[in-house]
Amino acid sequence: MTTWALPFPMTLDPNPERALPAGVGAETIISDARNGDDLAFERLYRQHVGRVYALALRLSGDPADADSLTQDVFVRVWERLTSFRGESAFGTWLHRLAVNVILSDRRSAWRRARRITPTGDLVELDVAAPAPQPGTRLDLDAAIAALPPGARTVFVLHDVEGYQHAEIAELSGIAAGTSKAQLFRARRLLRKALER
Amino acid sequence: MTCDQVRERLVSYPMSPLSAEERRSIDEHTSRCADCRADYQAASIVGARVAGLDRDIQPPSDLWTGIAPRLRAYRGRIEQPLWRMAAAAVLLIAVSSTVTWMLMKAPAREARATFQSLEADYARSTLELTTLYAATRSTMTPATRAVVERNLAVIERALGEAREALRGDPLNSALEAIVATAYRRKIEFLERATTLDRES
Repeated sequence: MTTWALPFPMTLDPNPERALPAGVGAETIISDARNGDDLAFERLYRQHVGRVYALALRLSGDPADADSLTQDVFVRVWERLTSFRGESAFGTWLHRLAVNVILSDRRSAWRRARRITPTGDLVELDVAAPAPQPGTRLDLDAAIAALPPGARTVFVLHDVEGYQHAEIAELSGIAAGTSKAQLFRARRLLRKALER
Repeated sequence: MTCDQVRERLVSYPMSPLSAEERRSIDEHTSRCADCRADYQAASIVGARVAGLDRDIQPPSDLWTGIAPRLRAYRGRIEQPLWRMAAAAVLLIAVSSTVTWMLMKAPAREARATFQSLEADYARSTLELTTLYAATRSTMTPATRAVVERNLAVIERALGEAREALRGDPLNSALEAIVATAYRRKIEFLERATTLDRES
C-alpha cells in the first residue's frame, strides 16, 4: 500500500530543553536575553523554535513560508523582549506574539494575492485541495495545508492550539460567529479529505 | 436540543467530552438531522486525529543563521540613533548658521564654493541615514514601509528639482537655501523613519 508523502519533513525534537546548560534557569536566560545577550536569546530560540515552526507551518500551509515566518517571529521577540513582564509564562507570551506576527503576514499575503487573482475562499478550495492518490490515506497535516486560508486559520488556532473563538476573532479581525462557521466548515472538509 | 444548541456544544467537542445526558440529546437530535449529524461525525473523526498531532516540529534547516544578522542590525539601529541624532543636530545648526553667514557676508564665488562643500556634507549624512534605513525597513510592516517610502519619494523629488534649478542658476543664493532646506527635510525624515519601529 502506498502511503501519502508529507509535503514537508517532520521530525519531533526529543529534548526541547537541550539548549539549557545545567544549573541555568529559564528566568535567568530570559533576563540575560532581555539585556541583549545573544547567546541567551539563541538558547530561547532553540528551546521554542519547534513550537513556533509547527504553528507557522500549519497556519501558512507552506514550508518555505514557515521558515521565513519563524525567523520573523524570533526577530520580533528580540525587539519586544523588554515588554515581557513575566505576567504570563514566557512560552504563552511568545506563542501569542507568534500568532500575531504570522496572521499579520498572512493578511498582507492574502491581500496581495487577491489583487492578482480576485478569487474567493470557496474557489480557492478547489484549487488548493491536493489530488489524492488512489488507495492512499491523506495525512492530517497535509489536509490542513490544503484548507482555504480562513478555515485553516480558525481550525489551527481553535482545534490544534486551543484558542477560544473570541480570541480568534480579536486576533484575526473576524466576528466570533464567522470563526465558528469556519471551524465547522474546516472540520467537514478535513473529514472528507481524510476519508478519501 | 435545537440545531443551534447542538452546534454550540460541538464547538468544543471532542476537546471537552460530552456528558451522558448531552450525548443522549445529541444522538437523539442527529438521528433525525443530517446536517448536525455531519458536524458531529466530522468533529469526532477529525478531533481524534488532532490529538495525535505533533505540537513541536523542528525546521528542516537551522533558521538561526538567518535570525542572528537581523538581531545585530536591530541592535545597531537601537544604539546608533542617539549619537546620530546628536550629530545630525550639530550638523544642522552648523550648516544653517554657515549658510546664513555665507549668504550675508561672503562674495558670490566664495559663497558658492562653501555651499558646495556643505552640500557634500549633507549628501554624506543623507547617504549614511539611507543605509541605516535600508537595514531598518525589513522590520517595518508593509503598510508603514509604503507610507515612509511614499513620503521619502516626495522629498527626494523636491530635492532633485531644487538641485536641477541650482545647476541652471548656480549663483542664485535663494535656490541654495531651497536645496539646503530640502536636504534638512530629508535628514530629519530619515531620522524619524529609522526610529519608527522602536516607537510603535
